[in-house]
Amino acid sequence: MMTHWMLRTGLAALLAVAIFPFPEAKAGEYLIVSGGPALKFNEDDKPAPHDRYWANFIDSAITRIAQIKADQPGSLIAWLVYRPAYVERGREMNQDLVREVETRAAALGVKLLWFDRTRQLVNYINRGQDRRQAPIIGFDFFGHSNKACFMFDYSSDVDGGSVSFLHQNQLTAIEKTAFAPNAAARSWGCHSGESYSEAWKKHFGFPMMGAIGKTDYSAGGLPVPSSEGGHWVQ
Amino acid sequence: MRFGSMGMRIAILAMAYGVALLVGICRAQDGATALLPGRQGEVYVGHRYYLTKGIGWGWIKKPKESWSRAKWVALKEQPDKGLVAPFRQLGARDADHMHEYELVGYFADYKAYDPKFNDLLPVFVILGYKPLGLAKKLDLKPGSRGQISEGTSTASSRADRPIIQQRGTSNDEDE
Repeated sequence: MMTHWMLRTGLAALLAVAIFPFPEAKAGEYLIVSGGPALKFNEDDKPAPHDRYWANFIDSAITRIAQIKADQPGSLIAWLVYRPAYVERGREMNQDLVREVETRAAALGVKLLWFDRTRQLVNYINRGQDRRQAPIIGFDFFGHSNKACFMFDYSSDVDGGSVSFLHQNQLTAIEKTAFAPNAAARSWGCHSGESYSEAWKKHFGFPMMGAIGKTDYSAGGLPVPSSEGGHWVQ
Repeated sequence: MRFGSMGMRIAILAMAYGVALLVGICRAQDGATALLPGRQGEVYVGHRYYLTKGIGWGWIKKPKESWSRAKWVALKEQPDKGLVAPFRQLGARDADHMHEYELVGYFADYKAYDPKFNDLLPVFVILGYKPLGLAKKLDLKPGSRGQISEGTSTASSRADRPIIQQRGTSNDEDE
């Protein structure tokens, strides 16, 4: 009788777990990449200055990280941030923005990794973890972009230009096997859906959501398409 | 101690010069020679060419070279050291269009991406300059490969202001 009860209870428990699984971290790593802000020196005399607020790509990334933590407690998350732009903007503002970002990352309990060159980012994607054990399962980019290029800096080192970027033609530097086959990717920057998404899918085999038109970070939180007729595509 | 005494003036000038040397603020203008502790620049000649879009500053060549060998460049400024493009002191980005300069500086070991034209430009680190005056239009087209063609602007208040139409891939968008 006891054995029968135990068997029934055990089966019921197994069934319950199958139907209502406990929230569990997926096996893999989420990468959140933040570019940096422009210098006000380069932007303030322009009709539509970029980055009046220095932390657009920080606050939005924090929102996304909090989302992942809520949806997938215990997930492996790495937040990669382009440091030189925060050093330069901080110098201009007479404020230690590097420490400010580190404080926010610590409060969030997320692993923060600074990078100064695109190669460092690519190296982390390819070999930052044993990608057989911890493939990348999610990728989010917050920063300046046009349809063909992620720009980790913009109007910081050179007025209106970028000296650290990942052009769609450079995607071949990233190993396809760094990502899980069913990984999710998204660019929250402007215009990525107009060309970069296609190049991404062609190289990696899974889609990357990107915007048609510009995106707007000014309301805080995650950016939204802001051009007339703008929307997300993949 | 009188502020206006000759001795005091000399002392203040000497202190100012010393401070300028220490912090590296020795911008060349009005014929002065560029001095900067650390890396010394070489002398180049620059032809400023203003475009309403893109990051190109103009063409730069070595003094004895032909303009046909000039490079379309982006300029690296260091505002914290006072090392900025000449137009910054003229009040408008197009104020020195078609002017030439003797430039002191060097080419950086990296290039800059121009998002407006999907182009990659050499970066010239400016350490100083001397105005040479207005110059004739060069027989060159902007862009790293001379790929940017010009048309007459209908949007600008200045009829002779160039607008840009790139052949091939256009990235004429905001970032």
